[in-house]
Amino acid sequence: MRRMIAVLVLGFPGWVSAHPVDEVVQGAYLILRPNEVKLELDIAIGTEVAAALLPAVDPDGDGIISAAEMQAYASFVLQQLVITLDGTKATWALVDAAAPDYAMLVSGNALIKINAVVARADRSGTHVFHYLNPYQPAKTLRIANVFLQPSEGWQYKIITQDHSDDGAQMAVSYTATER
Amino acid sequence: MAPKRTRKPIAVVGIAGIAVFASYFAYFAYGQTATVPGPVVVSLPQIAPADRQTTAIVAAADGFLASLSDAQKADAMFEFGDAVQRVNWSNFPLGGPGANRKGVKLGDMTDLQRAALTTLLNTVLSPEGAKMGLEQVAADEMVATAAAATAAAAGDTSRPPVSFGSAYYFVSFVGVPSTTAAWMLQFGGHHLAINATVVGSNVTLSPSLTGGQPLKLSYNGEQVYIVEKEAVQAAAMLANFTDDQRKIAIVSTGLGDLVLGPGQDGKTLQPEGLPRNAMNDAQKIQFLGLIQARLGMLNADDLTDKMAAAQKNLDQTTFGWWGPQTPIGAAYFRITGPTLVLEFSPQTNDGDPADHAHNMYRDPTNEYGAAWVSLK
Repeated sequence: MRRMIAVLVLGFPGWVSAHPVDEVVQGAYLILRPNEVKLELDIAIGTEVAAALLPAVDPDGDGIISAAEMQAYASFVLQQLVITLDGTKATWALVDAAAPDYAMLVSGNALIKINAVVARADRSGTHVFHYLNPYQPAKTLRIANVFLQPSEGWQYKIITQDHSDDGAQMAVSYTATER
Repeated sequence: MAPKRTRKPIAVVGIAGIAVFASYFAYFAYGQTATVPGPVVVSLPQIAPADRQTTAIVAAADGFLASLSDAQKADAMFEFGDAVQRVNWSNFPLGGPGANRKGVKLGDMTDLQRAALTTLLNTVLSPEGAKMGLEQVAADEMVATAAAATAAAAGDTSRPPVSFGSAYYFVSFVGVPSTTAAWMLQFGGHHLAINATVVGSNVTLSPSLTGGQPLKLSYNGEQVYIVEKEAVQAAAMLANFTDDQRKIAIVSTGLGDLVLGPGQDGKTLQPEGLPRNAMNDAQKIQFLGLIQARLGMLNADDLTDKMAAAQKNLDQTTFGWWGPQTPIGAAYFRITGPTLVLEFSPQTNDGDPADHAHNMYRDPTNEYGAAWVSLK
C-alpha cells in the first residue's frame, strides 16, 4: 500500500492538532424521555482558545483537572443553559462530568462531557421545550439536536424543530401519547 | 430496485480472481486461523445463506489472516461478543478522544500483507469506496509529514499526543470471517472508520465514518477531491430548489457539526429540512443520486438492497442544510430517512472547511447488523 501512496507534500502548518483549533465546539444532545429531558453536552476546546477557558476548568492552575474542579465547571456551565418546558423554566441537575487529561484538553485532543437532566411530567398532548445556550467562553460553535427515547408507557413525536442561525437556541414542539 | 434475495447476481467484476488470489495466500502463508478465538454463539435469526459476494469476502478475509504472523493474528481477532471492540472507532487520530484503536497496524504490515488487505477492501467496498479509503490514508500521511516538519522547525522533539499518518490505520475482526456466522471487519484511522458487518448474504457498513483532511490532494499523480461526488451533487440539489423549497431545506445559515459521530450509537436524529415528497420528479432522482454517492462506497452487490430501502422510504426522507450555500463542500448537510442518516460535516480548522470533513453513515435500524443478529 505504501507504494500506492504517492502524495505531493506541501507545508500545512495548521495540521499539528487534531480538533478543533480556534473555537470551542459545544454539541448538545437533548434526549426526550419519560419524565425528563436528558442533556449530553460535549465541549471541545481549540488550542488557540484554550487560555480563555482553562481558568474555569482548572482554577488552581496546577495543570490537573480534579474531579471537584470538573464538577464545579459543569455546574457553572449548566447554570447558563436555559431550558423551558411548556413555558416554564426548569433547572438542570448534574448527573456527572468526566475530567479529561489537562494536556490532552489543551492540545485539542480531549472532550469535556457533561450529563444532566431536567425533570418533566408526561402528559398527553402537544408540548414545547426551548433550549438556550448562551455560554461563549471564546469563539464558539454551538449545535443542538433532539432525540427520542420512548418507553413502555409513553411515545413521542416531533412536530417542529427551529434552530437559531447561531446555534444557541432550539425550540421543539412534540406530542406525547400514552400507550 | 428489487429487494435483496438470498442469491444475488455478481456485480463486481473480478470477484473470482480475487477469491483465487486470496485463496493463494491462505494456502501459501500461515495455514488456518486455529489460534484465533472461536465464534461466539449468539442468537441468530434465520441467516440467508452466504452468496457469492460474501463467499468472496470471506475468502479475502481468510487470505489476509493467513498472511499474518500468529502474533499479528492474535492482535487482529476479537470475539464477536466483544461489545467494547465493536464500537472502538473514531474520527480522531490514535490518542485523540476515545481513539484507542486495536488490531494490526498498517505500519507493521509487509507488502504482502498490505496487498492482501487491499484485496479484502476491494471485495467489501466498491472500487470507488476502496479508492476513497486509500486516498484518506494518503491524506493523513500528508498531515503526519506536515506535523513532523512543524515540530522540527520549532525544535520540538517531544512525542506528539496523537499519532498521524498511514502507519496508524488498523485492521481488526470482531468474530471470525465466516459464511455462516456473523462477523465484522474494521478498518480505520484518522478520519476513517469502515465497520463492515457480514451476516450470511448481507453486509452493512453502518456505522461508518469517512471524510478526510486534506480532501483536495495529489494522489498517484492525479488531483483528487475525495468527497467531490457528494459535495457537488448536494450543492447542485440546493441550487435546483425553488426559493420556497430552499427556505425549508436550509435549516440554519450557521455551520453545523457532526452529530452522530463516534460514541453516539443508538441515537436517532429527527428529520429536518425539505422532505422528498416536496420535491419534483427531477429533484427526486437527484436526491437518490446523492444518497448513492455516499452509500456507493459499499460493493455493488450489497448496495442493491440499501438503495432499494432508501428508495422505498424516500417519501419519509429529508434533506437539510446548515451553513453557506457556497463554496461547494463548505456547508453541513444531512439526509435523514428511516434506514439512513448521512451527515456531511465540513470542519473549520485550518481555514478551508471544504478541505476537511467528518462524514457519517448510519442505518438506525441496523447498526452493526443489529437487524440480522442479536448483539449483546
